[in-house]
Amino acid sequence: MPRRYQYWAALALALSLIRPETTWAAKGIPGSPAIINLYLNWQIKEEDLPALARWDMLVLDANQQARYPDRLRKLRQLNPSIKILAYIPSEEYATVHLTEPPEYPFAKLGARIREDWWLRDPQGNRVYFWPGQPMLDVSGASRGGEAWNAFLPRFVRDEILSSGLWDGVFLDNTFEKLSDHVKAPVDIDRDGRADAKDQTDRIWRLGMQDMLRKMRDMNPGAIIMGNGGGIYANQLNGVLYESFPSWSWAPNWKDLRDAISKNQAPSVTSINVNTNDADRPGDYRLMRYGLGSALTAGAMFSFDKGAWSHDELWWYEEYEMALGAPTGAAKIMAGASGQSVVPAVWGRSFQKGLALVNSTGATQRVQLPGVFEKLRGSQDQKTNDGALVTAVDIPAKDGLVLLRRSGPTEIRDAAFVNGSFLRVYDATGRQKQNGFFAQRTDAPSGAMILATDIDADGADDLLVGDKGKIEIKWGTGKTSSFQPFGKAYSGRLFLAAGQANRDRPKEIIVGRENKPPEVKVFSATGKELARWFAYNASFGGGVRVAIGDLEDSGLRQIVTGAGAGGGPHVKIWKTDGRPWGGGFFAFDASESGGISLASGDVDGDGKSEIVVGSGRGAVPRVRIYDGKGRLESEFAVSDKPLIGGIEVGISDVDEDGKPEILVGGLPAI
Amino acid sequence: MGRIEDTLRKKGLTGLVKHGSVVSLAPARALSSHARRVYREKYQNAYKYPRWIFAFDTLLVGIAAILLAFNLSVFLESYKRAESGLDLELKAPPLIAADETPLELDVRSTDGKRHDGVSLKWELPPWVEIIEAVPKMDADGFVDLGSIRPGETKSSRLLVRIRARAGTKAQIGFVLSQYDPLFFALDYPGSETRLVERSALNSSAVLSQANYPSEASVPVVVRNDGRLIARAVSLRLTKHEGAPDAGFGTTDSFSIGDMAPGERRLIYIKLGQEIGRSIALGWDLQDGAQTVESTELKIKTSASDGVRIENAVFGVDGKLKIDYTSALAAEVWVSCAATSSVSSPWRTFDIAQGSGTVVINETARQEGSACEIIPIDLQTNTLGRQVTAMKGNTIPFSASARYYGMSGDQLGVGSLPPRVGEKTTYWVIWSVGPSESDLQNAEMQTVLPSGVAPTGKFASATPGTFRIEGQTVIWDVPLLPLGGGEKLTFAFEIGIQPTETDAGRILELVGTSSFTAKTKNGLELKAETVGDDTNIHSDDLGRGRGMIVE
Repeated sequence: MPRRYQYWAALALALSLIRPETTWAAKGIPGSPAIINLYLNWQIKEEDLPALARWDMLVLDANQQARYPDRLRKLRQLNPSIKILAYIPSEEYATVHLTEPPEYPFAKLGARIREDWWLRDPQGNRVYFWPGQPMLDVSGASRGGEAWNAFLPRFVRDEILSSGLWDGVFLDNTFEKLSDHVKAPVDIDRDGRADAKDQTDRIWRLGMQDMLRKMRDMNPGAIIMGNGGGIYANQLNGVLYESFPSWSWAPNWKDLRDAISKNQAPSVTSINVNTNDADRPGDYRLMRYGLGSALTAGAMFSFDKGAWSHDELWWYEEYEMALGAPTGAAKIMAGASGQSVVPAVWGRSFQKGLALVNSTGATQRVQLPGVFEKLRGSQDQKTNDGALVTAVDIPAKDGLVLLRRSGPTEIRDAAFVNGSFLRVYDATGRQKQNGFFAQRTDAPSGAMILATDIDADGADDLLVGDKGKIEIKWGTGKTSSFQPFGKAYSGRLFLAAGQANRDRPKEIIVGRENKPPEVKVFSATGKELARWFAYNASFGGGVRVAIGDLEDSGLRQIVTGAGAGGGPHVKIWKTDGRPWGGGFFAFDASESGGISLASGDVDGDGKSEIVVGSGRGAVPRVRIYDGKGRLESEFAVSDKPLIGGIEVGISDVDEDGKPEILVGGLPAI
Repeated sequence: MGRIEDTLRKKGLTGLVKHGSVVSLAPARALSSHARRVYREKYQNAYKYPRWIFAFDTLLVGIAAILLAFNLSVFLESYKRAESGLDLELKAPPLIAADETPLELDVRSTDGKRHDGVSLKWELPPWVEIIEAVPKMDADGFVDLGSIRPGETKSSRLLVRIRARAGTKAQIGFVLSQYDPLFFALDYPGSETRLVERSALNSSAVLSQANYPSEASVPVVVRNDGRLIARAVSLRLTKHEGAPDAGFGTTDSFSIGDMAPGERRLIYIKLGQEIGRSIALGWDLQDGAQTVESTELKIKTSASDGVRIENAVFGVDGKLKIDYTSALAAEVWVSCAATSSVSSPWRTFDIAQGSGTVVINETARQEGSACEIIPIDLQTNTLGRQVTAMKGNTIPFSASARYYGMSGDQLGVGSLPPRVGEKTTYWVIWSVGPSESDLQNAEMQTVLPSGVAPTGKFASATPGTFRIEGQTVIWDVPLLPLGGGEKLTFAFEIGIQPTETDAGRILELVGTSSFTAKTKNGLELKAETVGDDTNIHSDDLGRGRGMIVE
């Protein structure tokens, strides 16, 4: 191939590997609630960075670019998807900033504020909305020079966004009406008389619109968010509704939805729900009320103490729920009827769940459109009890986020015995959801099942290993089959699938039971690519197989485990059968009931771990090893010995981006 | 850029290949460059035939270098092969498979010197399982013995389980390593070969000298005479000349599962229709999928109607009553315990000529226990037709409706207690076993009460067919592999949606369930079990929450 074509081919391949990311997936959990933290503490502690990096969007004081530039960069390292906005008031200036080092943005800003920019009353005094922070005149009056509403966009461009540390700017107090916030008389035209409120409000609004237009023109591509002022929603990427609902839920929520529909893309309109400056992180009802309101409207969500203390790191388990994209608009599900925005139980469906908010003053019972599973939480265990529900009672001013019931069709990339009872754990041994019967009706009971995209065509294929034969039900509807160990073998097969070479389709790795421990690797077309004995060929206990990327190198390794009769010996191989690393005993060497195996990144470090399940007759437990055979963690799933042993698998059952550990073989009753 | 790199570039060699080539060729380039410089400075204009003299000198230098390397190599080899100064002694009792066997290797300093950093690696055949090691063995199999002073003896002791046939030669190898200042570590390998004398896990035919009738079963007793729990024990038929259908039901192997020390199991090899007057059987007994004993047995076949069992049943008093007819004096062989710890888990009873009844007190037997009865014609030493008597002709079979699983998993969905107008689902779980042998052609079924509807969801890891015919739910299972002592479950989901007239009542969820299956001898087993209602009596978490609420 001519060299110039090679470059184009390489570029095309590279582009094909780029996968679209969900816009707000900062936590690494696709489709989880979009959350924003108004973290206006003047300090950003080094030890708080990992916690802060969990939010999708942060609003930080603009001075942080001079105070902690490295910490801002570290936040991006910890969370490459995070959006960071610089906080700057649009209409006032805290004079305390004048004492700051001159390189601080607010000190620079203060040094450049002209006397005629201050908003004044008829007596010539400065006007205040917040103590210590005189207001500036947003009207656009130039008074012989550049107006404040023209200066600020230029300042943001030259002194803030030019630092390269920010994604945009958060403009505080983008009031719609000055008179709603300032009760004192105001003299905008400087004629020594108080101006009429209607006139003042109109001039203020026009001036603010002019400022936002200039801000957009001078800072293309930046996220521009305002605090308040739904009237400016079409000029902004987002409007913050602070202390939501500020007076009444229904009109507030309607304004919220309207603002989102008008926003420039991407919309970051958010609500801030707070405890009215009380230190009540455990007010889960209030948090859920706000989160339900945000999710049903399609807004981002913030929960903290309030306007006097926007600097909390409060974290809730609901933030980590992988709901996926919304599948429709919000609708009334109980408490009222019709389409009008009135207090009711509003619900919105997502690909993987349902968000509800009860904005009425009474508990409402809601019939759900199917079976949903409550969060199995540790914070508010009474509400998040992990129950499977088809109807729920939601107290007044409360919300609830539910996940759709996971089932056997959600098990991808992990082999399991069809019809077995499966439980789902995280890497620490915490059970994440109710166990369930994993019975696919499109395959026989007792068969080994593995659903994965073998041929890399974007559609899942189904591998069914039964009586010595592998049948592949392709996503295209076609079926093919082969017998990996020939016609003479009609026993149980152990399956794994992964990229064992450099082509795009996955390869199929197969072991068998109660026979010599021969591992075979097949292409998607059933062509044998490699075979070897993982243990002594005279050993007749069979071999378990798994495949993973144990060192995050992009190359996969095949992991084997000895079947019943041998010790719990794990070995690691290159995909062509050459030894890759040493072996180790996953359990006490005297346990000869065999082991089950899986490999995947269960701790989020980028490397696959080796997950091992204990064998026949042992107290069922799971151990997690790294690629070097070092024990990372372990947990028991029962305290009674199990005749048949357990089967482990790894699959992202809830599609939260973190694979779970599946444990089969446990009795349901 | 040098010429080598130019060449590599021209040949298109890049990356690691280029780097490797440059690294490996660089010393050669340096040496040849040095030789050319020496030639130019000291030979070119100093001799009449400088090239010949230079070549001769180079040859001499080369020979000297080879001699030096050779001598150095001989020295190092002899140094490495020098006596270790340590004496090793392997102590091991006669090797017995499937039992715990102690191995001890004593290491003693015999050269009057102190030996530091002594470690030992056992190299055992793959069928030797290490149960315990003192001192501990690391992940690579090394035992650290530390320093051994003059006259001191240190030992490495292993407790192993051997999984090999009697007569197998076990090469017990070891590598002794000790620290050496020149080489850091010197290895001294060695090995001894010992014979595996017998297996503690063994089997034999119980009635090996008898003549067998057509389609008889050959009882084989499997014994664990060792001190360890034998894991995953199985019997695999390797030879059945003269009996092409011989086997264990549908397969050639029979999985016994684990066997405790001292335990005995009776397994029956079903002969099927024989084709000759003699049959040659062979089977392997496996411990953890490794064969520890191979047995061969020749038996003769002969038809005999001299004695037969007319009927064998358990009476209501729990006693086993065997009705027989015998033309001559005979015996009945009875075994009621497939699992036992007594040396011979069977008994024989003399029976007189004519008809009669043998009564055996087996009241202690549990429901579902089976007794195998074989009449023996003593005149011809011919066996009669084998009969199985099942106590109650049943096996453990239960049905329970569950909302929660054993460990608290929520299986059902909906209100609990059920609520008028809302659907609540439960899982009905049929549980079969444990039993002492596999069963065939099993069928479980129940007719659901009106108002209870199957949702269509079902689950079982045992191959079978689930069917719904109206209100009847049926599960057909060709083979119930119960011989391993496991309990098998078959589950399906049902749902109720109570109406206003149900308020305050407890609703029946599942009525009587029936079970039928056949033993390997063709005996039909039947069982019935009571149903369950919304009070889900066997559900620890959901029990008692069955009254319908509005």
